[in-house]
Amino acid sequence: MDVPGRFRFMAGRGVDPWTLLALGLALLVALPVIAVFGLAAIPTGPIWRHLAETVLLSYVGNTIGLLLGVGTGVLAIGVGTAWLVTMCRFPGRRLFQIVLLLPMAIPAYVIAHTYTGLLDFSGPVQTALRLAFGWSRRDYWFPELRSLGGAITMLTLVLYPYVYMLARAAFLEQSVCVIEISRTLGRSPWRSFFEVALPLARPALAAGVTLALMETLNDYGTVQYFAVDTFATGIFRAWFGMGQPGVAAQLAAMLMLFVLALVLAERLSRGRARFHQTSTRYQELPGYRLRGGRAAFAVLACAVPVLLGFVVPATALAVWAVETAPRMVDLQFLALARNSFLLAAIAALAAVGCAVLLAYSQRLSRSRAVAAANRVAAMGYAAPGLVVAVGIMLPFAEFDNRIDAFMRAQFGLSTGLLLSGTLIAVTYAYLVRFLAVALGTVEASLAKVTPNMDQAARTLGHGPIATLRRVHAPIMRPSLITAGTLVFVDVMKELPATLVMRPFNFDTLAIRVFELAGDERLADSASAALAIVLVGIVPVALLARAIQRGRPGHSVP
Amino acid sequence: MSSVLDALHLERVSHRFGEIRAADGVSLTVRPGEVVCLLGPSGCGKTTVLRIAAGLERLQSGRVLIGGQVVADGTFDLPPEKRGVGLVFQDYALFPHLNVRDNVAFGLIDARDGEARRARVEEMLDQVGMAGAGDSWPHELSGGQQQRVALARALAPKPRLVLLDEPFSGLDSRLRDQVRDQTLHVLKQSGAATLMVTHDSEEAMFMADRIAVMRHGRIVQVGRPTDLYCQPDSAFVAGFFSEINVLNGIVKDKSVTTPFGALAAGSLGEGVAAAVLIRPEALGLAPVDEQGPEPACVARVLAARLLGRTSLVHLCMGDSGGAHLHLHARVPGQFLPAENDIVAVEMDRRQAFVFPAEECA
Repeated sequence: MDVPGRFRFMAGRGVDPWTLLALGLALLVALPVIAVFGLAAIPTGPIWRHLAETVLLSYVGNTIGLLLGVGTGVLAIGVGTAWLVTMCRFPGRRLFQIVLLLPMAIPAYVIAHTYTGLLDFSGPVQTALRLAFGWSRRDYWFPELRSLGGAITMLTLVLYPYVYMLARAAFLEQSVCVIEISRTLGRSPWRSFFEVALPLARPALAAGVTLALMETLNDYGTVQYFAVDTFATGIFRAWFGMGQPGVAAQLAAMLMLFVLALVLAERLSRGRARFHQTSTRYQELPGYRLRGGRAAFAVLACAVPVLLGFVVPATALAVWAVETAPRMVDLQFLALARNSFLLAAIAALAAVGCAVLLAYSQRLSRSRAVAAANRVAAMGYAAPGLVVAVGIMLPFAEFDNRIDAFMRAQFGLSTGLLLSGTLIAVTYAYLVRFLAVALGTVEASLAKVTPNMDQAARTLGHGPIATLRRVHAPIMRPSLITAGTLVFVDVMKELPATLVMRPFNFDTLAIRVFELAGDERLADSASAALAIVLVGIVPVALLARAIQRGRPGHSVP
Repeated sequence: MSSVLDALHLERVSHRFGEIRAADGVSLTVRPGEVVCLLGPSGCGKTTVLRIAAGLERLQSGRVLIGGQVVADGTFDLPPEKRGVGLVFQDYALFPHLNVRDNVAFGLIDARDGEARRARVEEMLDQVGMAGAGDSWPHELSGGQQQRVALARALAPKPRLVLLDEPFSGLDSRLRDQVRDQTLHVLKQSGAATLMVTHDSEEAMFMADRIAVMRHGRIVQVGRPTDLYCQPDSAFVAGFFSEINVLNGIVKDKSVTTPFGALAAGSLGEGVAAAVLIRPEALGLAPVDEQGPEPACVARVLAARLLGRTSLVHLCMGDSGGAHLHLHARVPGQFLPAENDIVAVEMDRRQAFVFPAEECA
């Protein structure tokens, strides 16, 4: 085929720059994780042995406990509420479809702080109980929130929406025909749910639980606050408490193994049966009409997660914020907000830019190498923030030290920190963590632009970049904004990587919340926490809008 | 009236979706072993009737009896899982998470005995010509194979009544004939009563012992396929079974004049606008014989096409008012006169029907 100029270049054999670019970006994302495993291979001798003999077992035990507890919790709440709002009809169903997502807006560490403020000895709940019954400290037992169970509860309350969201989508996608067939073959609605609907939704449920558990492994703020020893707290302690970055890298590598096991388990759970929908016809969902006690139960079952996961903590934060804002919202607060905004905006731009390049090079080259590069780039989401921090900071520090030593030896001047502790380093970390968020959105949007449009533009004399700029970018603009917003909010909420990697004295709202809460100034932290929660509502609103667009073939007013 | 023997008996079933009357006083009986087709254009309410029979749609008014037992009467609805009906959807709705064997075994709840269960599954797969496919997954099957598995699944628990919702419309036409044929034999062999919904009159005639034609939520005529074809009650039924020629006229002296002579107008009143419906195969054509007697009726050929077993000839005739009529004639075998040839036309009066013109509007 005779193709002129750039066409031939794109269609040609050999390596084109788009492929190189994609491979380069993928390598950049993979590098911190590779570095962690590389660093972990360096023996640390007696310290590691000491660790292994003392605390390692509790790290492993607590981490597994956390995973099991949160996994069970999010499955029960997520699947139960998703089934109720999609398959049953009861008062408030439409409202619940949306508000069940709200707990996502609250970072785990914030809800942990809030409930501590509400439920500890001097908090309003216990104080009220003592007043009401005339008890004193020794007269009653109250559950200890600062425990493994407490951490599980907090994480479950804010992470169940992942399962809810995916389970709901899965139930909606299922053809109602298969459930009706199951009914005519002698199954009650309940048994149809367990024997047909649930098994069909299994891949989606596995994906939802995996997301929730990745967030669990990523968490540092909650477990640290509740003094539950996990790998996250262990890494932090080894690195900054004991000054042993090598040990931190080893713990980070072990934590990464947990993540890999999780990803593997999800893949395996999908198994051989890929659940193609065998039915393409959509019908009005059956909508089991619930009345009386059953309806009341459904309302309660949907209301409790929303109340505990959002309404109660948000209200508490609002009340405290009103109380303390006059003192806390000052110039320093505005500086924090500006820093948060700056970091989030830079990261969002970087992530969306890289995502567009990756997705577009995949479209242009359609090669396996680029497809693999995109998948690798998307895997960064699985790496916990502290793992990424270790994987970036240690090599960067080593680099800085070498340059510094070299410059001092050669020219007698110190270059200090060139990379570590800069905005570049922390942006890099965010890019690794959140590129997947942007990439998913951009890929989905690009897939909607038919290849014929590319070809039309190309035949009209536009090169790949001009086509991207003049055809794809305008079509994709709403999705790019969505992608940027999602990354922006994730960065605003992010704690562990920011904590380790931010430039010296460069505090953000999240850092401020964490530090004030650490000083037991929970009410003082409320303004900053509330600001984070409010920003966190934005992606929830985006999701809610997508949900309200409904499902194919659904014509109910 | 309902008999204990009836597999399905619907009694004045009415159903509304908001303002839309999906079913309006539908009464219908399906006897054991009988295949009844509910035939009608899309949106006529036939699927709603089927879903009410299955218990998938709550009955609003009327009564539903299965095997002589009341399963719904407006105050009470027996849930679908207790009705013992088999159901096959248009898109088959096989369970994608189960292989073929487990799909077919899904309804065999009572078979405690694993061996009996296995045997029944194999028997059913064998009956539908899918023996040996038990380990396949639904997505590995072609459309025709999926349809057969869906049928085996519906019949496995030996239901008294099988409900089929457009079961062949997902198949391409050649495959459809074959699957149809096999389905009819499997159904007849099972002895179950069958209610099938379709919009395809040819399919209904192929499958049905009796056909109920539905329109706007009402059943307009029920009978054997030959009854409906040869003695339609209405222009709608007459026109639903084939393409049909329509001639307009006025009733005069209890008859309507056509180029083929006067036709009895039946009960139509004097001066009423009438429509004469003539099936294309009612028109017999012959070359004009120069030597023979003058034919009673002639027409000019506009075009002639061979359509396989029959030929379609487009004719132009002058009617009594001097206007030109365009008629279609279907002639067995190959009969292809040249354009503008003049042919002799004869009409089989048994296949011409007179109805009020307003019915054809």
